[in-house]
Amino acid sequence: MKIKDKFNDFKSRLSDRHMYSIVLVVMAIIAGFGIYQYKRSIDFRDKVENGYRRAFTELVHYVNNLDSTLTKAVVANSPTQLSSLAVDLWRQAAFAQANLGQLPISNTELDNTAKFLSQVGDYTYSLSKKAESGQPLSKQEVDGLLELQQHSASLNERLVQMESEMFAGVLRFGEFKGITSKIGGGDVETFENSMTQVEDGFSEYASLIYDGPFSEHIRDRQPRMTEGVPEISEDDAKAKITDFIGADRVASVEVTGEGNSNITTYACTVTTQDNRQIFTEVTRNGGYVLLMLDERQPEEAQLSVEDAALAARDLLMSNGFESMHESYYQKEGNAVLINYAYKQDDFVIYTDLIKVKVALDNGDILGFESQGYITNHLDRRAIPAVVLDETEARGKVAPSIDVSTVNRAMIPLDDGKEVFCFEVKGTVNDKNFLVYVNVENGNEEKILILLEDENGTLTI
Amino acid sequence: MNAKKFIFIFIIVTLIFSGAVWRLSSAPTLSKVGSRGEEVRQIQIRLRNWGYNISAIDGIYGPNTKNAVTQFQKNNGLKVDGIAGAQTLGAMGIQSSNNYENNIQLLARIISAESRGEPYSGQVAVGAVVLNRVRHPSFPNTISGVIYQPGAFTAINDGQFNASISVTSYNAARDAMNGWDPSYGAIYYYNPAKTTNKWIYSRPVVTRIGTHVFAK
Repeated sequence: MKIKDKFNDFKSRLSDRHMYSIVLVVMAIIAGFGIYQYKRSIDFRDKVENGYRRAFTELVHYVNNLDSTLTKAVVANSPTQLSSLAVDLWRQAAFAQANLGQLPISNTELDNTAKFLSQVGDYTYSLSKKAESGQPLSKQEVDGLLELQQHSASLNERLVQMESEMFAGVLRFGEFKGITSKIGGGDVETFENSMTQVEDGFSEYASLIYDGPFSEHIRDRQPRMTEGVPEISEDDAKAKITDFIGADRVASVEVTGEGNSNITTYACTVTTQDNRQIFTEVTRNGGYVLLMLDERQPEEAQLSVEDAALAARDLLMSNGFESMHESYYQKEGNAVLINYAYKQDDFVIYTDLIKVKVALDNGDILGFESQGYITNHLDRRAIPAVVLDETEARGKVAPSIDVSTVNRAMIPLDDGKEVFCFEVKGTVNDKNFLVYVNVENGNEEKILILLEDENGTLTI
Repeated sequence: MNAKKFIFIFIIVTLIFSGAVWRLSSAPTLSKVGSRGEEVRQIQIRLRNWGYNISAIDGIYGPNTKNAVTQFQKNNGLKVDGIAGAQTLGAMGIQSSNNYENNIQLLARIISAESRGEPYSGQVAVGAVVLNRVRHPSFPNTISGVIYQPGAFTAINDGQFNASISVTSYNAARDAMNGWDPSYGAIYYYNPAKTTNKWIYSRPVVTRIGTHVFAK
């Protein structure tokens, strides 16, 4: 054999020149380095795995609590009891969800488990609010609670079993399969598989309908403006967008795709005279411009925010958006983003929202977004009888607030309901607040903090 | 081939292998000579406003910017190295003014890592997907929770996440944060040419932008 010959030749040459020792030392160094790296990687693996274990055991803990709280909620009969249990559930579900999100399991396999944890707190909370307002729970609502409880019981059971398997060392996190299977040997079940089985238990998890932000019917709401309006053709969409951006700016328009969400759209890519591309979407029904995105960053600011607002209002008027009221603006570099809300009588309708971004160098429209408007807009909403007056509304907010102005507005609540309110603006300790007081019954519906700086106003 | 030569080659090869083991540690990028981007622009804008000699606000950290930064460091008793590190940025009031800005940065980081080379609307859409997940019941409830969720984004693990952020990603992050959503409520996206996950194909497709397919 040639190679064998070479090797023998090499060996003899090494021994001839007394080089064995050098080779041995080099090999020892390499081996030492390898062992050191290996040990370090094991250390890191243990640290990471301990983190996962902690997240998992906390998950089990909270699901366990959640299960017993839910069991109590099923038999709770008074609004007070139900609402205190709902608060507990909310907290436990939130912690459980946070811990679930840390496990190294792809979300696609835990879709429903995570959803269950989000909805369980949300659902009970909405029931407790209903109970507090004096309405008895319907049979359907109680059944919903019962179904959630069954799911939590089986989830709890499965997780506790996994936990003991994990403590017994037969269950490990699959990320380390390569390393662990060699050391551990034998049948080591991976977490990924076990969690998939957990998810299987949720395959029949029905969609819940209730008054909460995570309820399906709110997420899947159909837009008002595009319902029952005739469809437009691709050419109409192109014409519409050319008109919108301005024929003098547009070189060509191409329909590059379609959007198939709650609102179906034509995606049009506009090439401008100066050879840039602007992405736009026009609704298929009704042909409204839903979105426009121009990535241009103006180099300098020559216009004031007022000038920009004039340009934005022009655009809104010429596109048939009337009675729009400027609410807030935010400067971003040399562009300004202005929020517009529809105004009916004296009420600013915050759901019917359009955002316009204007360049401060030449007043070009850089961005447009009307999803809020298209989804919610009604020309005439039935405004309830205003029972309170402004002075009474001022009296409803905390005495520590130094009230400056009172306006009227319609705001959406988390559960999608629309409420008509007095918008009471005031300050406490140099912080600006907006407090919304229901015009019918004086309820404090929402509190917002206003962040005002040299760049504009932001609400949180 | 004599033995000495052989051993020499042997050691070189070993060193190359061990070098490969030491993966380049991904430290957060600092603005220094050669850097480009939004942070550099911010530095330039501020220094110019304070009367330092900045020839152009172009987002490029050249010798001119370095001189101004050095001068700023001298004037403010900072370590004078011409590199805008954490301390210098802090003194300029650039770093983490509030949580909102930090979230923008995080979002810009994931957009930059996940959608480099995509059209601008595609970048905004990636940011929007992150925000849609925050609001979706099946996902964590914070931006960082969604981004760092194990297995959610490949860029988190391959080091791209800590690479420098492109300027357009910042703009895209801001637009996404302000409510522009070219993905229309999508919570998944994938590149059909690269993905092997069969499950993802079962999700209803909302739209397609650049190489990414957005799905619910």
